[in-house]
Amino acid sequence: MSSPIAMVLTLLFTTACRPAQTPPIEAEADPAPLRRLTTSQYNRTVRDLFEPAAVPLMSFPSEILIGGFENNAAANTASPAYVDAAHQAAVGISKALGEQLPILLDCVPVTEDCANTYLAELSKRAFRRPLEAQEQSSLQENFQAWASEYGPEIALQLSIQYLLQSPAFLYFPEYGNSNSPKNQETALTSWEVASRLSYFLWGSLPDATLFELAENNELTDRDVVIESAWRMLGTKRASEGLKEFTRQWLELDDIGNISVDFDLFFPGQDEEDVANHLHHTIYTAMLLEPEVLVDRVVFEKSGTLAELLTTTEVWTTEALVDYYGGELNEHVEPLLWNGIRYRENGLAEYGVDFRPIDLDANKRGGLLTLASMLHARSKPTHPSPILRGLFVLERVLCEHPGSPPDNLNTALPTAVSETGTNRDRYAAHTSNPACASCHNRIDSLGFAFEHYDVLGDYRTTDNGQPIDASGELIGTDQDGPFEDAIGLTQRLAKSRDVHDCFVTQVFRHSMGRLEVPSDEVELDFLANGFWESGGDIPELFVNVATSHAFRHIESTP
Amino acid sequence: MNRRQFMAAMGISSGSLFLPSLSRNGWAAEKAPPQRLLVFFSQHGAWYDGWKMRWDNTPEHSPWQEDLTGLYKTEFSDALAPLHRHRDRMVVIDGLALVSAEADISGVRHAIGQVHSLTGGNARLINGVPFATRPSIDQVISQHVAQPGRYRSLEFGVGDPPASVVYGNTLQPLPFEADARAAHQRLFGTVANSSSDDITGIGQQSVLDLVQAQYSDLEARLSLEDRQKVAVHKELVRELETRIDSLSSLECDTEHSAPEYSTAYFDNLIAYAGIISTAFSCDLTRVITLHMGELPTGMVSPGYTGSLHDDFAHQVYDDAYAAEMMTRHSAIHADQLGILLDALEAIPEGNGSVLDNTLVAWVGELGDPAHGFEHWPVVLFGGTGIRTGRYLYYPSNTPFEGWAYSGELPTMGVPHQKLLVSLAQSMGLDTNVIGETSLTGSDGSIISCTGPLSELL
Repeated sequence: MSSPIAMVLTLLFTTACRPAQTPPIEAEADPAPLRRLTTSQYNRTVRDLFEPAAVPLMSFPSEILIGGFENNAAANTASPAYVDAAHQAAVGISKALGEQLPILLDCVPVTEDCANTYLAELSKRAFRRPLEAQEQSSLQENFQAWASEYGPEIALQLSIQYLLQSPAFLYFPEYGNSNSPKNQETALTSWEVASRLSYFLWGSLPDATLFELAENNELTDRDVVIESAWRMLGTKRASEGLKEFTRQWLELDDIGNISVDFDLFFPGQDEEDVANHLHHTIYTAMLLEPEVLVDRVVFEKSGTLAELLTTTEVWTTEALVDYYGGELNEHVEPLLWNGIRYRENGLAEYGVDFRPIDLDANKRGGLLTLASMLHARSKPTHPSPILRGLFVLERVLCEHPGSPPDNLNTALPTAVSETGTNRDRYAAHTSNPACASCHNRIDSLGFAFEHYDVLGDYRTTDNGQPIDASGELIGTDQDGPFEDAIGLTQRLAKSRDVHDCFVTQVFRHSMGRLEVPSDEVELDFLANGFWESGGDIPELFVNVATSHAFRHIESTP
Repeated sequence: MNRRQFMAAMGISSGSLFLPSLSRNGWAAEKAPPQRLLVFFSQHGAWYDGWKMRWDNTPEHSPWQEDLTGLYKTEFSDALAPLHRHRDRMVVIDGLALVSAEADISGVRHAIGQVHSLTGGNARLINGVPFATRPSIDQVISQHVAQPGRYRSLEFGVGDPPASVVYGNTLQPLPFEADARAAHQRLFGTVANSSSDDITGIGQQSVLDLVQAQYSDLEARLSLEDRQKVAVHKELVRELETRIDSLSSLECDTEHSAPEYSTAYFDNLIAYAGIISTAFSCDLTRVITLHMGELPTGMVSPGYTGSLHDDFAHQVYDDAYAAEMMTRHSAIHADQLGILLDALEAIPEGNGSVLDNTLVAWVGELGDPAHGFEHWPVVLFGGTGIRTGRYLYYPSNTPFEGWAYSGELPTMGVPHQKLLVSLAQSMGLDTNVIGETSLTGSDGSIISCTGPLSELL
């Protein structure tokens, strides 16, 4: 998936093995509610589990998002639809594999011995740990019984169905070191650490190297975990793991669901053509654009949050290049980036070529000014400073403004006067004292992006009036005025609060839960480390992966 | 469109011209047909003036009821006129309010309404995401009427509904399927309808037995709270196994062909009309919720591509055109519901039709489109537990101060829990409580939320 140049650069990465912070003494173990594979993790896992055989992408009911993340354990209790989907997936995958047995097995035709051998190895990888004696004998006995009745090929498929619906595959049960006394904290076993590492950093199951370290019980040694984390970040699979985080952190799901006003933005063009163009070319590229930027900054450039927020070199596609008013750098090999979309027959993968482009530093800078990021938070006819402001508040500053007061009309006039601008449209928020307390902050942040219209295009006028994107950042450690989004993002890039928030986002994603009071010590420590490292994102990922909470759990009473 | 064409549009075909009464599952006169529930859930409430109906001399401050069966279509309100042909089995309930939602200050009104509407209980927000504190009425009812070996309940969506309003016993929102083709695949696809010649049919019982045993083993080793998760999953696997076994021997005359791929709202509605009527007539389930997303603006106001939510829903009290558009929004949903009712009515069952044995409830998450909880619009159809063909009015006598765009409300309508209790009782449940039991009024009095609407049953 990466270009040759990128691959060379990522190899350089592996040799830059740096130590990680030592966690504070008072850090606490993870309360560890039971986590389950998300749809995304399931699909990556089965792809890796059965390669080189090809497995179809499977659909599950959409996860309930908490804080934007799909893997929050508080929201993953099984529903009837989920269990049905897990069953359909298991059957569908086993059926697809049934037609590719020569790829999976050495024996043609399939013999019982050969299938049994394959199953023994597969089950260990599927459960991400060795099977207990009773599990092994159960698997074998059932395989035998099925083989007697249906033959070894069907028996193999049924065994695979059984593995893919088992709790050891779908969930992440964690017990820790069984020698620890009950009701206290315990270190996770090497197998459990391997799983946590691979799902956090790769979004999929451990590889052979990680499994071997687990087999030798080396992952209870923090130094080995540090080394493993750096190694993992240096592989191509780390891009998959980072993509998971980015996609969820940046809440891009609204792209494709906003009905853009065709008369306004595509006057005179055939509606069906425009719709096709938007859905099959523009939106598909937009969904991937931020992922590529984050990936390139983290793995190819400085890897700092500040650079992510202010860089004037981004990656984009043929389809979106007109938004930026520059030219794609044709001297660089394109980076083929893959996405998954819901299509006619379920989920389907698609690829888009990305190339670097230099932004006009007067008009754009950093992640928040990507066309996709602005389109995701717009209305059909005008940008939404509320959605854009809320995004910054919630995802970049980790703040949650309260709900609008009950006794207030939250309806807005949407038609503006002949000479009115988008700012005028939303002026009722800040002129009304009941609204102002929250909206001073929300809208002010959102107005910074007024130069970018519904599709993320740069504009200098709004309804004939010059754009006013100025405002003031308040309530942070970098308060002060700004002229526009570039000024705002430059303040955000220097903000300790923003860096701390990023740590929280990574923590939530890695742990599969929201933070609780007992996490405070660990979070402070991670935040200090992130700040002192200059906002080094890979280093943060390693520090989170090697933190106390990540490697210890409260032992089961 | 004749019946056959109508059925074909919904994907239903049958070798015997659709007479399930001749099939193994036909409900003969001596055996009572099953009672079912269909919840039709729409967004934005209703613009009261375009929805309500009035007769001469109907008082404002005391309850009354009027007959609907003798009215002309023009005498129906604009919002409800499309349902005129179903007036014999229709009950309009004017005067309910989501009082408990008004009392629950834990979050934004839409989210609170989404929780209260079907559960009758308070919301519990986790990082802004509304969870329930009680199961929703469809789940309470399905607990009672669901048949072993069938789907407990089914949740479908048309368009892009914002969030689930169905909460199971675990109090988590249950997902709904918004892709009619995927719904079809789940119910009628090869995995659901496998034969013993096909890998998808072989060995499922033993595979699922084994899987359940694994969940049992795991349960014992986990912390108390995690045990619940595993127990729930295990139980669902057990139900899945029972259902696969049971459905493999099901004979139902109704065959259902897969809907064509379409992202159009109306196409999906029609596809679901077919899926729902087949699911009921073949007794695949007895409880279905159809969650209707906001109508595409172009459907309500052709050519307009702004935001229905921002431009019309919120403006109803200030802009007559917006109010007209929201009435139109209701009328289009009424039309769509009428199509669903037609589909259920077209299937003979016992001495009547499937619709005769299906209680249909049209409700939503708000009272009015400007976030009001007063005048919560409810229309019911069919079923055997309610007396139909009427318009019921209740005055706003509940001593609870509410908010509406139009100004403070010193009192509100009847607590909506009473409707939920009525639904439960009409489906044969012996309960007087769904959701909150009482609220404290603005005058300090206790407002009871228990018991049914006695006029209804």
